[in-house]
Amino acid sequence: MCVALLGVALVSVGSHHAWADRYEATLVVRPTGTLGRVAEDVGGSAGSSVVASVYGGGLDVGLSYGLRNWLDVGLELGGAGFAQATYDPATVMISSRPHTGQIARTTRDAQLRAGATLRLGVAWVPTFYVGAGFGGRQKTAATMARDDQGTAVGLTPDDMSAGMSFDIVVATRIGFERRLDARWTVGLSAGASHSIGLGAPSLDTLSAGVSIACSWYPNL
Amino acid sequence: MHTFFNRAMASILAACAALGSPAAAQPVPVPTASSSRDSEAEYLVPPQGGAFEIALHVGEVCILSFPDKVSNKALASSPDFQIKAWEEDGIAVRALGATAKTTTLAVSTVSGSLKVNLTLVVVPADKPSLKLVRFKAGTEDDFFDFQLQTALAPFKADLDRQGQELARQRKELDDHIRDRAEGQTAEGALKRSETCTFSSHARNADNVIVHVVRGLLLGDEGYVIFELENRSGNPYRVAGVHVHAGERDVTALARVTAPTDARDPNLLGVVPPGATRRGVAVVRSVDQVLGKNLTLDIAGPGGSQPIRLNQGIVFR
Repeated sequence: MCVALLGVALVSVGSHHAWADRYEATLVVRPTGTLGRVAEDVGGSAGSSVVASVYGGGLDVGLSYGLRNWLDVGLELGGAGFAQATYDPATVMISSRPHTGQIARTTRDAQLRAGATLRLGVAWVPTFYVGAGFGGRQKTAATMARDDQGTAVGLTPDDMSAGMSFDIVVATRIGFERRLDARWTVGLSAGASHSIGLGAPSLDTLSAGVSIACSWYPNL
Repeated sequence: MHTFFNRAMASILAACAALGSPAAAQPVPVPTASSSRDSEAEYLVPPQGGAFEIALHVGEVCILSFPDKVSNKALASSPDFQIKAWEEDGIAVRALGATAKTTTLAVSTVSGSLKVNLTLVVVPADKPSLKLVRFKAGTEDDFFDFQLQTALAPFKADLDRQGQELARQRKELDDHIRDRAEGQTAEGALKRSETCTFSSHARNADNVIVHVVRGLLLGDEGYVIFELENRSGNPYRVAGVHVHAGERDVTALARVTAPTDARDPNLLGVVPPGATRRGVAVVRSVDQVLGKNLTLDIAGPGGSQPIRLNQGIVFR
């Protein structure tokens, strides 16, 4: 999908002589479907992570301003929730004793990013975004549903109770928008982000979504 | 002016009628050109031949030049004139005495394409005479054209003179208007000359954007300076630019620095696709709207593709 969008973007760039949106402010809402790769330190040794892929959904809200006809800068606040991730086999400590079995945990993620968007069109607008910021992850308490013998356990491993962790986030996205009139724009986009956990394993996401944006001249 | 044109047209019509009449069917040979020296002449001879008078001074040779070989049958000297061949296509003529009587000389070319009957006249030394005469064979059309040009020449000259006079008067008027306008501008600048910063932007659904970022207070007038940025794929035709203070149109005039469409004089300008052009709207008696929020409306023919900027334009 990303390749297709990039191709359409390049074709569109070649067909336009003008660019878009200097002085214009834009508020965008972007529901997304997300694939997360959530890592947990359940590999049995320090720093040994196991990654689980889970689907999720989220919503991005962004506010941007056109510095040039081809360049917007702005802030984005995004949130995503993921289905329960399962790590099997996972080796954890429960009551300071090692256990191996299946661990399940649910993660929610929020990100605040500052970024810039190249806007390469007028009525049809290919976009390319890069941004960086901070993120927070809310994790439920992990549960060992059963051990490697198949015995139901139902206990929370040591250091895996519910809590928050924080990330440094980098993100990129390409999209393709259609300007409907002087105010409204709709679009499609696909993006990826990488969250570097501060004392926690990383989180990578791939997302795709539709967007609807409202633009106006704030007359600053 | 009307009298002049009426008279000129009547004369032209009369000349044309005369040229087309049966009497004009037998054209009279006339000189077609004179060189800078009066002693030379060139004659256009119609197909049926022509008659010419050649003025000579006593003792001076006049060369008659033809476009073709001359028949020797004509070369017969009279007692009063010496007439000799001059090359194959020319004749040299000289009057032998002051008492030489007027003599006629019939000349034709060997091919028969040119026939003339020349009257050789001796004139006193204080009268102009000819030293070289060239004869050219002309068609009926050439001759008609010549007669038409000759008939129209005085009127054309009069028209040219009137045109020059009109151009001079127009230039004087333009100079006067420019001087007066510059004078008013100078007086206005002495009274008040201030720039204003605006921040107003708007676009229409066709991706034509208007930016208003500055204005000018000059004397009693205010100038709203705007940029028209056409991001659409079609030309944007500017037909109306109006500044409103509330419901009141306070626009004196507007200009756009875009070439106008010559087919529609009602247009202020045309902004090509992908181009940006500047414009200005003049607000007369700007003191009456100081501090008030102004609205700038720009539209195409018939109010199409309107763009309205209704905030951020305030003269202070």
